[in-house]
Amino acid sequence: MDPRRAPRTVSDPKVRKVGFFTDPPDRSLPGPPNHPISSFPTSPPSTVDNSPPSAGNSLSPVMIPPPRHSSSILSPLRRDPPEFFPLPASPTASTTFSDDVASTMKGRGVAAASSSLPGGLLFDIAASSVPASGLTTVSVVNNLPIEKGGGVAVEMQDDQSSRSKSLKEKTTKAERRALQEAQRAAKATAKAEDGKTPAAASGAAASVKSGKSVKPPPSQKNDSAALAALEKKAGDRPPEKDRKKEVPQPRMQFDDKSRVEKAKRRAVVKQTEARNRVELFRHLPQYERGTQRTELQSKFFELDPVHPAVYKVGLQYLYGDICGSNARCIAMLQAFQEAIKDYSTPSEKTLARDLTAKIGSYLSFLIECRPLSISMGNAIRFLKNRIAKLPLTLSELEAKATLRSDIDRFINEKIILADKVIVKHAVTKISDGDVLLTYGSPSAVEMVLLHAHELGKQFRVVVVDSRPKLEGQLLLHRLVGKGINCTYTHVNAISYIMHEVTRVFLGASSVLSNGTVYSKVGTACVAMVAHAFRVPVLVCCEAYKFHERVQLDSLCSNELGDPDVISKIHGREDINFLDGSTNSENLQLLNLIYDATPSDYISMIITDYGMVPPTSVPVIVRDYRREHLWI
Amino acid sequence: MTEKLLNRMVSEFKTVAAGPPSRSPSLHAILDRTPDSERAHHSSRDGDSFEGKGKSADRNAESWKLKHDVIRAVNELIEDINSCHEQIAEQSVELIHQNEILLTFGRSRTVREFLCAAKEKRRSFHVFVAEGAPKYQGHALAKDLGARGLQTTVITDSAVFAMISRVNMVVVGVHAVMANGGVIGPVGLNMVALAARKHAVPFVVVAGPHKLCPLYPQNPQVLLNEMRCPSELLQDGEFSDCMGVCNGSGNPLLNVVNPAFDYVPPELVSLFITDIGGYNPSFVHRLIADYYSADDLDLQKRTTS
Repeated sequence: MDPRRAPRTVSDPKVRKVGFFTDPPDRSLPGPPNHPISSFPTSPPSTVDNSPPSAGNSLSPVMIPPPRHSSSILSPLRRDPPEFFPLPASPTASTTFSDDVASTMKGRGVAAASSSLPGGLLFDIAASSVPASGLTTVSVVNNLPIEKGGGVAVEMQDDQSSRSKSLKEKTTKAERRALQEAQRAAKATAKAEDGKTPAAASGAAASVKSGKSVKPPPSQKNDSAALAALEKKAGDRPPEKDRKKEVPQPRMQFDDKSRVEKAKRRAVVKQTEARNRVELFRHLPQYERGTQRTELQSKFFELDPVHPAVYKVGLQYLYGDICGSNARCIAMLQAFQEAIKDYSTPSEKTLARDLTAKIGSYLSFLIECRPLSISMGNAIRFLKNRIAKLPLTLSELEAKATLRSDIDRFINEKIILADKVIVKHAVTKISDGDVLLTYGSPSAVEMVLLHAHELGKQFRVVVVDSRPKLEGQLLLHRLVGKGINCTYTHVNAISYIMHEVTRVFLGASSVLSNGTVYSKVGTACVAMVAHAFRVPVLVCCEAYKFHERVQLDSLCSNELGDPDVISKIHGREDINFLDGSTNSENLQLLNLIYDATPSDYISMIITDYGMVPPTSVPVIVRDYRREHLWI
Repeated sequence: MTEKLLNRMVSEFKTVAAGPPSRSPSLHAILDRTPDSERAHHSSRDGDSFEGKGKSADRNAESWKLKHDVIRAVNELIEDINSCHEQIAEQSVELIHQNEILLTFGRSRTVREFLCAAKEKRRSFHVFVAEGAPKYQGHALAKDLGARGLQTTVITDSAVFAMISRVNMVVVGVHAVMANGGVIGPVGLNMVALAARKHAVPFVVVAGPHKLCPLYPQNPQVLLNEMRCPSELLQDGEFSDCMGVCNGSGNPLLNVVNPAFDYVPPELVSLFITDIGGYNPSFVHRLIADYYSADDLDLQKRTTS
């Protein structure tokens, strides 16, 4: 509900002084008394004061780690290092000031100038003027390098938003360019070793900023620009090049006949393509299931190159014994651990290259059993990265031990501990009396529900299930076994049941860079209906599953399952309309495994980095992947 | 559904047995007359049965004529219901074009005729049939369509959102059309309608006139719904250990919900195709006025004498 706005009083049109000019001497005063629009009451102070209600909480729901690039700009300017959302130095003053701010800038929450001054462009930087709010832009950067107060959460948004010109402000081109170069320089220095010249860069940046507000003498700008350019050359090039290499390679499209032929020749196992294929999905592989299994089983003794552990995992994928992206990923990594343990470098070959080739061959075997999920792809990239980074001085034993411990650490940190963190965050979103809906059998959500039940929260769960896998029944069994009150229904009935649901928890196979959630087919339907009924949708997903790919709909990239499963309905033998018609030329069966949920249906993604909106996923993928995930 | 059919059937009474023209034709008006005549009949029977018979012969003749008319009207109605499919199917050519992809849900004879008529006119198109759990009638429809030569693909209900981005039109048959233009259909239809709205795909409902219902829905998900047997969803054998488990207050821990019908609000419906043409959801209340009289809305109402 919007708070009622107070009636506006007639006020004279604001006279603005355009251009840059010096600070007024009384800049430390909060709200000046002869304020033309002083009749504005606290119109949305909530927008200005952005610190979350649990700011005093030790467990902050959104963990924004200390920013790397902006720290170098602002470190000399800040008094204390950033913590989780420290409150501004003088909160009362800040709120009043931000009221004025809000009123002058129409509630944008920007620390604007005191409007006693006719010049609305100068940005006042009283200690209280930088609340932990959605302060955008140039305002903060323009601040004189004096007290910045505690407005910390600002810095994160600073850099990203500093490029946006959300204020109608007329900076000259030169100043904008200098600003950008300063920021690039600061970023470059943050990327390069820390010890380099942060002081110089930030000094340059600071001088640029001070130059801005004080009619900069051109010489100052040139100096800083030159410095910035130098810094840029040194530090910027490697990260940008790496970035370019990271564009994901286009995946194999199976409607390209020549490539399919080539892949077939390289294949370990011969597979016959399914005969009756849906036109729309010609770009995805689909094989006859029956022949696949017999082929694989008969070739066991011939498959010398495939390690038995990997073979076992491949069969488990094929038969559907292992389901769920976390389980598949862990199984695959553990199989690789075994394979690495038994590996010995052949003579005249280097460990790194040969092992990478071997892993590649195991991978192609696994892909033939079942296409890789996105999380598995990320794990493989991690493994290959570690193999490539092995120092050459290590002996074979040491190298193998290192790799195995790396895999252990990956599993432990990225999956097991990440799940614990997700559970810890998500249970804060469950309150007594809630009715939670979940779809299918997501491992993360199951852990959340069980933990919340252990904590003693009173809630009900609605388990929605769908054909053909009917995974929800497994989840239902486990939940009822633990004593949680459950309701079971099928996906068609979600419109009926949604009116009593308070929150929807979904799992994901992956979250893509445009915020799309890629998960089991039917998730999109659930999210859409929840959105229509205004029920918040929370997705629990570990961060290692994020991917830089983008996808708009569910058709460009998917997985096709066994179509025969659709015609046979488990437990209802009386329904067999489609018996024997699978070979009719006009009738096809389509068994999609995944679908893509658009980001507007998702309220929040709970990851081990905290609770973030879907728009933060590319930030995590791009900026935090490299150092934290070694991918 | 039978209530609605009865409604419709009963509305024919007024057109047939006009009765005294002074009163506006309505079923209750007609029923008013018969008890009076019955009472008169009874009083006349107090006397000699022989004379009573003579007098009752007149009454019999009148009621016999009434019965005859009603029977004829019911036969006409049955005829109408059977023939509405052809008239609806004639309109399919205007809506379906070459190389289109259509989506349908569950099974409906009207839809089947609709699609086959377009096929007869040499339009080639592809149909996705969502199977429509828990009855899985979509399988039967797909088999029929495949047998008649249409390119058909069966998809699960959960894949509807995934496929709808490629669909040009959604055509469904329903159980009942409410007076506000909303629709009661097989469970899952609301999900399909929401997905179609999101992707701006026209959602076309084909319905014969016997499906029109003069009621305005009030909380239709609950009041106009039916719960089906839970064993369609869960096999008791696998869940026997869970079924009997109760929590502390004696409530069972496991509930199974299996509604049979779904309500689609009129905002989500693009078009109704009936045997007398295509209409907007906002026009349905006028169609209902053609078939029903306002007095007949409450079947249970007893006339005040």
